[in-house]
Amino acid sequence: MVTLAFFFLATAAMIGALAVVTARNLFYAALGLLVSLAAVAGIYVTLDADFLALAQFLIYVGGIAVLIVFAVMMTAQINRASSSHRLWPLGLLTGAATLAGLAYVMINTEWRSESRGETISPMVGDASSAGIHLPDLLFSTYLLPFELAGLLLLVATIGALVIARER
Amino acid sequence: MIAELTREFLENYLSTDLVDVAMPLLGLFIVVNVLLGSAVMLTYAERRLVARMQNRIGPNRVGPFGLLQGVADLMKLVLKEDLTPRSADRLVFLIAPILFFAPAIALFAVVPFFDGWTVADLDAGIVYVIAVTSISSLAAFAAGWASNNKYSLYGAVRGVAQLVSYEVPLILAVTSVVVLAGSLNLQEIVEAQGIPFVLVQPLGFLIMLIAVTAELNRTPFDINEAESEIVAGFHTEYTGTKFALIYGAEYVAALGWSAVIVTLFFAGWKPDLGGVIWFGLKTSAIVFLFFWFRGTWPRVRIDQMLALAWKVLFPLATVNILVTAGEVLAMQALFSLEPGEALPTAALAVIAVINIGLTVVTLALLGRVPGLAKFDKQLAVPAEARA
Repeated sequence: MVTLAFFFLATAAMIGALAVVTARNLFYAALGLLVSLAAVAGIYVTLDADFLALAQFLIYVGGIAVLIVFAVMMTAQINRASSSHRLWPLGLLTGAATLAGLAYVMINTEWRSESRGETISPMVGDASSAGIHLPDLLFSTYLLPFELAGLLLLVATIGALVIARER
Repeated sequence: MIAELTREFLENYLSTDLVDVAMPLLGLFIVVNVLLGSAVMLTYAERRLVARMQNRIGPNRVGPFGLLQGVADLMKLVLKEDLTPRSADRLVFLIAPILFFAPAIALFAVVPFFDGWTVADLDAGIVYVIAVTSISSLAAFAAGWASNNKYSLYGAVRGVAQLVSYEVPLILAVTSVVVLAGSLNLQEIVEAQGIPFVLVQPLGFLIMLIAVTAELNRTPFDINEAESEIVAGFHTEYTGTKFALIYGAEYVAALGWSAVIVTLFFAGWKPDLGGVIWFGLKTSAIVFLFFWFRGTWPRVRIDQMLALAWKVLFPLATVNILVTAGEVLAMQALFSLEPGEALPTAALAVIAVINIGLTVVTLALLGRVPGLAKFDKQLAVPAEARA
């Protein structure tokens, strides 16, 4: 059942991702991205990472996708896709590098597995159940990266305001 | 109880594995059909009630008291020709109503109708509610964009601006409830309410109510389908079944958000007086409130609406979280509780008294804050244009 769900969702994610890069219409590309991100959220559900799935859905589907739609909204001549594909070797290189990096990490990670008798603790739980608590981790071990991410977002916001400001 | 009886009945005919699959599907079937029926009846209820408020009679011809008006309307819509404008984007035009309807139904998956009566008892239930409903802005935009009609697009652009703005105070208001309850699970939030949170979090409730009204595109925040300005906004081009889906989705969503408000602020199914009926009555009361708004208030302008979200609700909700968190910490110290332990009723009562006082003071002072009192006049007509 879980395997079936995984293949269904993985296929949906792949089709969505393909639509993002191949669709001539910018809005279709945005919708493709939406499908892909939602399917990834579904895969998280099959991995029992409910909270991660919901966060993925809330932030990527509800937030990022809406922002992209905003960008599409402001784009004139939406039906004419960008006709220049001169940078494709660079794109291919970046894609290959990312894929290689991800593959390297995936192969070299020791995955925990219930079949080997290891426990997989949920990422968030209520105070009574044993489990790693996301807020505890965020505000202790990973406090510096967390604050840095916040600072980065602030800088980006101010930068966007400066660029968009009417003179 | 009923669930166990049904299970026993089914096990006479089916294998245990099949029953395990069938039970959730049966629950889903009941919930979805009750919802669709309620949506049809709500269209009638709204028309009758608003008519009453406006000193009219309203629909009273079909069936006794006009009760079947909703059914007749639905039949008419389904039998109508399904038109798609020639210049519309066919695929997105078709998907948008479905995208609109799906989250409204999906919202009910986590609503605790009664003790243990939840389709999916998620640990992060309230996050699910917010995540699922965040699609609605996208659906509204897809509908408006695909129609390829300038009024539709105007409606869609307004809708996205509105939904994105009001999601912020909405989530912050919900957060203050989560801080109080110490849980994201809706069932546990209900159980944590020794006193209904509407008394403990009066400001949070008001912010939530306003934000939900905007989130539902209901009057006075229905500017993305303002019929006096932009025909019917994002659903101008929709007819027949697709229009029925969009129209119905608004009622199902109204019902869903009312159920969430009842769960968060009115102690859900508690106190236990006749099970799910009590929950239904409370939800209906909130839905009536939305109808009442529509019968009472004129529509706001878009700049007023966005100003309200960002200049009033957002700061209030932020301060509300900080105050609530401080109070919870103080009560934990006072009653010597472990972090995460549910607050006893006495602690809630103390917080309630403080917060009701703070809310009254805040509401009284709100009009005197410099800059806020004037936001009504920001887009004042220039003197030369007035003459």
